[in-house]
Amino acid sequence: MYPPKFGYVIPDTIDEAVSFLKEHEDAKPLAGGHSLIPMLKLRIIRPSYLVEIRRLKELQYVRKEGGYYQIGALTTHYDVVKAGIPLLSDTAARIADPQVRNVGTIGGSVAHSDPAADYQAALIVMDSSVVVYGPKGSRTVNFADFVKDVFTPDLKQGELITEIKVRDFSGYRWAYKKLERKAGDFAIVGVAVLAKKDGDKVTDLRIGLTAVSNKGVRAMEAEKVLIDRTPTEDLIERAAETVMKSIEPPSDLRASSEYRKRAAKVLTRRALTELLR
Amino acid sequence: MYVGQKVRRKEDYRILTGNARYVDDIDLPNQLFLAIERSEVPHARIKRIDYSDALKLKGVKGVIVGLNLPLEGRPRNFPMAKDEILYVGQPIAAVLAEDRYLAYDALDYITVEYEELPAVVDPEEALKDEVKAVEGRSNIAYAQTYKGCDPEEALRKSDRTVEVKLEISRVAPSAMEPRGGIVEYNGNRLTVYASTQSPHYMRSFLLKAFGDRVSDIRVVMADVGGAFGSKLFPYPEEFIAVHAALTYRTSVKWANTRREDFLSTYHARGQTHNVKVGFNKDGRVNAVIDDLIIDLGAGWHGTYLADIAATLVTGPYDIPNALVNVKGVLTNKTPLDQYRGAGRPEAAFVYERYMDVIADELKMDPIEVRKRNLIRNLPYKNPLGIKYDSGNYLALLEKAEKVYRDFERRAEELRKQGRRVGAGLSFYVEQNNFGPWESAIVRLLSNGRVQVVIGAAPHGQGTATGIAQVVADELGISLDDVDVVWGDTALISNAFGTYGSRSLTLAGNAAILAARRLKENIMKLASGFMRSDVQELMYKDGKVINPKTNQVMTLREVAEKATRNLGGVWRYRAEPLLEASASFGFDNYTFPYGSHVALIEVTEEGKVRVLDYYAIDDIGVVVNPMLAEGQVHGGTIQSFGEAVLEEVIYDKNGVPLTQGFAEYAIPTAVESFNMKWEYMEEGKSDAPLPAKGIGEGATIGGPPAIIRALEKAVGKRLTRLPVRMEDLA
Amino acid sequence: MKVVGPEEKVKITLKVNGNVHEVEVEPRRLLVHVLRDLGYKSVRVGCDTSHCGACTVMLNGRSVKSCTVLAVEADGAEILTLEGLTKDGKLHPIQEAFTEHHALQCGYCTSGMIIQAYWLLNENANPSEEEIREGISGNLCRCTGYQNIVTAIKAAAQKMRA
Repeated sequence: MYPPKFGYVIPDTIDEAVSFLKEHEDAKPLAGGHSLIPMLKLRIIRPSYLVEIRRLKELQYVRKEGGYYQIGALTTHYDVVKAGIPLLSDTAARIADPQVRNVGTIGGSVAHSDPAADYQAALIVMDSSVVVYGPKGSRTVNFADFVKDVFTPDLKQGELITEIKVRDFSGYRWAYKKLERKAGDFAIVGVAVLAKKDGDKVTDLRIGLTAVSNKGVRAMEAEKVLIDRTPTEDLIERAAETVMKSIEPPSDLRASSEYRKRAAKVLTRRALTELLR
Repeated sequence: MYVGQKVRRKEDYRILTGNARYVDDIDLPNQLFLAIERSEVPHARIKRIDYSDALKLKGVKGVIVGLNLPLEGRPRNFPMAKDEILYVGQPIAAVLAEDRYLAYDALDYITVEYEELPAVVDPEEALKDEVKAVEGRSNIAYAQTYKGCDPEEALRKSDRTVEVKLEISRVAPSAMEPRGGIVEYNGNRLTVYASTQSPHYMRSFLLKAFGDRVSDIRVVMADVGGAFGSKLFPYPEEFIAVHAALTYRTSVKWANTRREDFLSTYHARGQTHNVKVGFNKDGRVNAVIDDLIIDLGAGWHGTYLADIAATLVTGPYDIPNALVNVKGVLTNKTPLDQYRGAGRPEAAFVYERYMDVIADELKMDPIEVRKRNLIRNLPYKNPLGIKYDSGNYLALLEKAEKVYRDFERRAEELRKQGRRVGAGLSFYVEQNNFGPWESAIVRLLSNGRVQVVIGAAPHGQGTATGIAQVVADELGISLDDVDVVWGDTALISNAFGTYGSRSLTLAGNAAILAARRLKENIMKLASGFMRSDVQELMYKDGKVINPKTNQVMTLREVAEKATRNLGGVWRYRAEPLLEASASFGFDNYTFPYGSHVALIEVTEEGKVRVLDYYAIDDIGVVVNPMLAEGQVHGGTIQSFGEAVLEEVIYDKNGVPLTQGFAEYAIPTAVESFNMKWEYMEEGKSDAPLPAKGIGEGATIGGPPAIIRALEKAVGKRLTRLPVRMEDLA
Repeated sequence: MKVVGPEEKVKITLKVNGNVHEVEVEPRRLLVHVLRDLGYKSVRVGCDTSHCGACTVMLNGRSVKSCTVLAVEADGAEILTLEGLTKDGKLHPIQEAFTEHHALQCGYCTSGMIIQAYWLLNENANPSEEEIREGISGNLCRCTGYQNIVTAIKAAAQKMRA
């Protein structure tokens, strides 16, 4: 309940933040704090300093350019919801609860890389990339490569996420289905689907899942079942079955591996039926 | 007339304006903060406790270890583990520091060296008595048999028998305010501000332990943020804090974090029932034989919960033969004690499950089966010796049946659409008003206001408003002129508190009797003031009237006349007594009864949605329907939690996995649902206030109705609380 | 750039219910504890994992869980707690609705619940029942079963729209 002692840094520019973080290997950046502060209260991390970056207004924005959305890392989940971004806004609306969404940021969530984070299901299918800024300047990483493992992003000490880029899927239909024991809980399984039809044929289909692996996964084999086909009940069933067979989810207090698989199939089928028929 | 009306609570204004004061809101000069070092392992022998580094920290005033005080039924080494650790969360040491952050910092500097011992976690394993939960003694801490008539013979003679194993998991009461307290040091007296359901009991427990070190302990109940049974008996922290205050001669405050609360606040339920029922082809039940195991944890003060469950195993049904074998086992877990319902929910789960099982076995309508067995004539003594007082069970069941048939129709319609929907009904008999008695004082204050002091200790139920209504009616005065106060051992001498749905009834009746005594006194006083014979006077609507002379004195005028002048002499014969006290107790418990009906849908993936819900109770007179209904709402959602969401989980080594609200899922507003509550007022007692208590009814009737509806929705027998989504998928 | 060492304290200013407070706090100190130390006892602690919402306050126009905010993060912020909702002893329509509809029992969750309702009705003046339940999903109550709380918020919304 009571965080351990740490120092506090308020940088005026992102370069000050980055150079302090580089110099102090146990220092951590503080954005919305809604992943970090709970960990501090449990005393499972003991940083030397927290570097507060939330006042860097230049990292709070949502822009649309050239078929992509550019979302500043410090954009709160609340603001992501309000931005009306296909799939991503609806996904953000399922994160935790309203108060957490008012403060938590997309950059913070992505940097935290929780294997059950709602964003992971959406970002893995949205051709998204992460812009990272560090002492050596900026680099852009595909989201799929950015999250390496549980709680392990491709971030070196001294680097900060500055932006998340996602493709604009206007013209698509989408859904994010989340199974949780109760509101605000972590997903037992989360399924994000983007679908495009031309006439009665499926021209594009993307299925992303969270809470079934060490990071978000894209069910490409399942997608292939329906792409360029007319979505019949049988094909949808087969696609959902393929999703189920393609994952090896963990077992934990919330659900067994076997239940996660069954639930992933049900949610996938439900999303596909809603979007395609 | 206030009784029977939906009067707004007098308790609300303070709370709504931010002026409630729970224990952590109280700060005393020079107070030290107490933080407790708790065991991280379930069973071990302590070799050494090193706290020298903790003492070196700035702001740390002291460390306490090895405190042992005798208290019945508590874990060995109470309140602190001295040589043997028995459960994760057990206190081992305590730090006193100037500030709470520093106190918890100091805990990082305390090292406990121990030798781990094997832990026993599963109660059926514990029953084998191979791995000992507590070194040097049997795991079987309690064994009792309850028998009525000849159940084995009756079982043999029955047309059919059925056997079912029912598991009721441990739950955590989870009041929103974690436990805490503050001990004020006054030299040789202490005042303890407590988050408690019984200040008087806390005082007597503490005096037993510390009576040789203090002249008195006053216990003041702060505002309490929920309790549900979990704040009735004092805990280790209370004793440690008092000891710390006396040792360091200063005020001491402690406040559990939520994690600490999950590890240390007594868990509840934790019973397994292997029940065999003998019945005939017509659905009449002849005998019930139940093997009951209660998972007591590391202490055995929770045995009475098994006694209550056992002696109600035949429920509201006329079953003449019963046998219950109770075994209470020790395990290396947090001790077990009461939670809303305390034994009655467990009993109701058992008898309502076997009624439904019998209906299914015979392919009979479950309401019909119940009607065939329902007790028709009251009072009724069940085979285990419990005497149900009054009621019209059939009339209530028939009211609930109407709703059940409607829910069944709707379920059928929805099933035709391919949805998994079921309707379930439960009927239960409650046993409450655990006494033995309660007291009240009614005072006429010098400005004419009436103050009622009650020995009960309500903490959110609204009892003070209910009792104000009762006293206002008795004295014929405005509700606005009555204040009810409680929760201070200095205000009223001997009392018991709030638990077991007894406060409105017992304290309410005591208040009525006290108000009547006060009225008598007032009449005598007024007769002196009005120079009339007492017989000539009448009392009506807060006034004393002489109908012949038309002289009138209000209560206020009587009070003022008696108290207004300083000095002078008292020439009247009547004693100037402006207060009266009374105590009230029943010679039996009271037995309200009720029924819950649920219409529930289960999605393909096992998610549970309550589509409609109804409950009806007969609790005798309902003093305030809005407040009574509030109790039913709260209890019903707790039932829902117990049925599908909540479970205290330990891993096989004895480490608790549910250490906070992330893991332990209590319902949010999203899982909660709207329900309709109705009431009957037939089952009255013969007390002046014939009310019987509603506080716990909903946690008794809820789970079996919900489980039955789920069972019907998914088409498979359910025998466990909670049922997990994956078992419904 | 400002650097505060682990053993140092930092001066912050908090404007709570219109009152300006200047305090010196360790960086690790949670906002909920600082507010309580300043006397705003209605801001409560009910858990350690940011679930219960009893600590909810308005901070610069948004409802936040003050147990998950460091006091230093709130430097310069405008904060509203339950104490600030009552004006000259007169209850806000939400407070009034709570007592009229028996939406509180033990009262421990009430301050956070009312502030969250305040934020919710600011966002959405006419929420449906589902929106209300979702809107308070971050506030746990163990006593009321939520039914009367939802009724009270709906009634308050209606009164406030009039």
